Amino acid sequence: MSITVERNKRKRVSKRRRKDWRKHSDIQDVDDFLNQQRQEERIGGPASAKKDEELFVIDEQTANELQHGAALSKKERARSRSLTCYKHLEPMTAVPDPIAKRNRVRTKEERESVILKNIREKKRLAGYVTKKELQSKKDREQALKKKKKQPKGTVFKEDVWNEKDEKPEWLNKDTLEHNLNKLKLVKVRTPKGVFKKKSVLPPVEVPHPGTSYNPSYEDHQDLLKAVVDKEVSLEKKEAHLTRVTSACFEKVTPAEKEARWIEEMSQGLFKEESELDVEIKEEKLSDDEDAKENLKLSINPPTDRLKAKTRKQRRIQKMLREEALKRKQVKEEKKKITDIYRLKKLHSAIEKTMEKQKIMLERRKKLAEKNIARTKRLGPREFLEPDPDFSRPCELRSSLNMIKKQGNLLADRYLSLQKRNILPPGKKNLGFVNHDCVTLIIIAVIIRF
Amino acid sequence: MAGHRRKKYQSGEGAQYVTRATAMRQLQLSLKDFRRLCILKGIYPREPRNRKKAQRGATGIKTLYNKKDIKFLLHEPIIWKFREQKALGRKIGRAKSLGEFTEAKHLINKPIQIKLDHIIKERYPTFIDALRDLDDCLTLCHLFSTFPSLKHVPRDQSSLCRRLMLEFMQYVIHTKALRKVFISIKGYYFQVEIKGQLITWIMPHQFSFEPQTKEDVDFRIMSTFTQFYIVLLGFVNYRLYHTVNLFYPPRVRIMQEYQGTELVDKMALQSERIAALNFPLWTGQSSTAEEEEAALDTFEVDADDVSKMEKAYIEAEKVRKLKTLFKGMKVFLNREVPREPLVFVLRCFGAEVSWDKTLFVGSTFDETDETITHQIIDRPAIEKQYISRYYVQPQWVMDSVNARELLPVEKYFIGASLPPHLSPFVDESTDGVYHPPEEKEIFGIGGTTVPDDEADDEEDTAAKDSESTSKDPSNEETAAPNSIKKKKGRKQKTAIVPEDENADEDTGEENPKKTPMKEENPVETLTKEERRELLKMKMKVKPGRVASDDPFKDKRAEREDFKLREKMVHKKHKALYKSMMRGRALRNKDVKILEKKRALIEEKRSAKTAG
Repeated sequence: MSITVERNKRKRVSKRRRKDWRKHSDIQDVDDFLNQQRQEERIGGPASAKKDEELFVIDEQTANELQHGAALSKKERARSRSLTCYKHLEPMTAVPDPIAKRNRVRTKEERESVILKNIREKKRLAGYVTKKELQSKKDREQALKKKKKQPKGTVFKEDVWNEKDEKPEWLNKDTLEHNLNKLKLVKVRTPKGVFKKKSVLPPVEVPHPGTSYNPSYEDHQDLLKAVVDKEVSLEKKEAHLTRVTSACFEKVTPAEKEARWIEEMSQGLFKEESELDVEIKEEKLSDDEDAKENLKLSINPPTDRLKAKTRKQRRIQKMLREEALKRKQVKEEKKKITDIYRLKKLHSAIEKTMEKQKIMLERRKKLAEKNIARTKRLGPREFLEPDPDFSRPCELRSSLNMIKKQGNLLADRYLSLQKRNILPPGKKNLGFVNHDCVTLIIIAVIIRF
Repeated sequence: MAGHRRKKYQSGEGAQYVTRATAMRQLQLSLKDFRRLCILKGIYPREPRNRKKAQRGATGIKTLYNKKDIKFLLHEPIIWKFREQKALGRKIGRAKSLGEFTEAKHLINKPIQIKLDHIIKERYPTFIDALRDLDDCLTLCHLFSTFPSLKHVPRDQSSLCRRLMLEFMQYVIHTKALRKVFISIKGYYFQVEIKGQLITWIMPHQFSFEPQTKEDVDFRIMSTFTQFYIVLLGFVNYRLYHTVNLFYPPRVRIMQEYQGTELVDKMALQSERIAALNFPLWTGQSSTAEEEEAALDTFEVDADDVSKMEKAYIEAEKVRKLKTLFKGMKVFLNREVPREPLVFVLRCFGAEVSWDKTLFVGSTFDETDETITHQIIDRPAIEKQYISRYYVQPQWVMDSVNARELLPVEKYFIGASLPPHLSPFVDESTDGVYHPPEEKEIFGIGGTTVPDDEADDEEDTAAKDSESTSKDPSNEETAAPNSIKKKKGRKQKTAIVPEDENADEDTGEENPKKTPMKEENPVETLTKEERRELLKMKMKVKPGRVASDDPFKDKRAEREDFKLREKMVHKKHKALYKSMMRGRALRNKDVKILEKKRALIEEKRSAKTAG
């Protein structure tokens, strides 16, 4: 560092070329001066050159007035601000334009001759109205009328199922096709699946008579029985699951677990002497066996040149192979001939398989019939049948006015769509809504006795 | 040489399906838009025959769509609308984040309209197809008409649903197409017959809206369904109205009384009138619907079909009668009665209906009108009663409709304990099914009712009532004088079933639910002896029966038969047979021993665990 500094501090430098002049002459003071000048220009001249009135303002407003001014609404403030589009056109600095006189293109109004303008003004004052103005007024009125006539909400004013043949007969097929194509009016054939019902189940299932607001005793009991049966079967299933899973495992106290762990971990550490002798012998034996096995277990044993087959061996091998193949073919040919005599047997075999197929077909048909109302598996989640809606005996009211509503109609619709293979079951399975189990069991008991 | 190498899943099951993700990628739609499109176009996931092949070997269960269905969706013009919507959403978001709220507002106020008209025609090629699928449509529209404004639901959806539902109900009233009514705990079930199609829908009870969690029901999906069904119902209404020469949108006749109110919006007034369901609609011509009805044609048929024809005739006659069931009746609804369903049902069968003037617009006559024939009331008592009219409970209307004749009003008077409201949707055609006596009485199944049955019936209803009332403490006081009788009825029933039970057991047999009630109610303890008396009166001597045969007789005979057959075994096979039987006996013995052992072990274990 110091060396370079020393080198720079040469006493005399050559200033032969322009480059050298630039390099070695110090113009800092000139630059500073110019910078300051520009800064002042930007701000709007040096402060020393300005008058007092330009620099200072006398505050004439009272504090109250100031506050009032600040309380402009957002809208008012926005209005007072100059528009952004004009702001962009304004100069960014206070430096005066170096080109003092610029020629601006005048607007249409400015360009218009004064005489014409005067004539028009006179006419206007005299009550003349131009044709154009009249027309525009008329148009506006009409448009407003039309707008007023239009109904506000959604309107249905077309018969979609009205059979009307729109295509003209005199067009040939190609032309028609072309026209429709260009007008983008070609109708794509709807796949048959769209018309087909997704399930045989009715959209609104017939209500159980027990769901009446004022059911007969039998109907209500029937319904309750159905509900309870479902609940009981569910509980049974659950009990089964716990029995075959968590209940299968032995339950151990922590202390016992600890003891077992110690026993397991200390296996083979402390042994009695008599046992030791026997084990040593055994170990030796096992070691030998292991070694042998290890040799055998090699996946890719090394090849041995000495063991390679000779040419003769290979020739004989090939010959034998070919002979065997030939023999096999001959045998097959012979079998074909003998099969003629086996025709009867073959026939019966075919019939047997046919019969079997028929039975299978029938069985499949039956299965399909059985599963006709089944909810299909449309997504990763399985559809679970929701609990039927029911009212407990205490919830029954004698009056329509005090009726206690059960079930959620929207959820009911949602699940019905799922059941009819229209929607895949959603995130959470609504299926099993656990009602008050205790009351259900009570009901079950009542029903049984 | 050989053709192209055939790869897996290029034909057959593997080539038929695409997963949802693939479909979305092909259509370039988000999941939200894809779901919407599928619902609107009626394309739903499929279940393949062989899932492993259909999923191209992928494990797990995926949502699969038919490949052809997705190709069909590719042509749908509303996909472009979805894309426009997406762009609009982005523009709005951008404007908002830049603070340009006027711009955002401007964009929000110009939503992109999606027209579904062409889809309606595409999915329902004929009008009858549309009518067949109306169940879902009506139920959902009716349900959404009760909803407030919600997230994911367009702003005007519920009001539009209500308008269209009312229009449909007006049509049903005009053509008298209602057939069955059922009040369930879920809602009101209505069944109408339009052009030979039976359409059932559920009208929710009043104030049935419950806020839902997102997990319960996907509101967005249901709203999309409704969006489609609204358009369907609109077009169906249009067509229905035009087939019976009615103006669409409907107009009501009576307007003159409100002519003074010029400040009121005419459209709002009109829509209110329609919502009242109480005014006849303006028809294009003067002819009414009843006159147009044609008589059933007669055909020459075989002897087998005669009964069928007869049945059809009887049915047609019943329906004809049903259409004028309430004709000439003037009904006044008390304010506690649910107005809409009852007005709908009553007006469907020709009654004139009115209600309190302050309750809802459209009341036609006052309560003081002497010409009123029936007043529907749903409270235990009323202060001022007119002699000239019947005061009945609302169930009478529904039961009469289901029975297709005017039922005697006595059972439905104020404060009377009502007979059960039975479902009209139970299939009556099945024979050999038990019909409760109430049903027999109302629907006339099996002709005349036996008096003994009637008594039974009373008991049953009384038993049920007693149960319901005993649970309800508020009802207890009003129903106190009846309760004695009811208790008796219950007792009788329980006494009938077990014959060899003595009195002590009888009292113990009482419902466990009932016992606490007994303690707090002194009326029941007083009547205990009375009941015993009654039981004694019921006691009677019955003729003795011949004892049944020896139960082991058949078994014995079988055994003898078997022995004889054993004797018939050929000498040649005798040794084999014997050895076979010996083997069987040995095996049986082994099994028994093992079972015994097992039982012992089990016992031990249980003892251990108990200890």
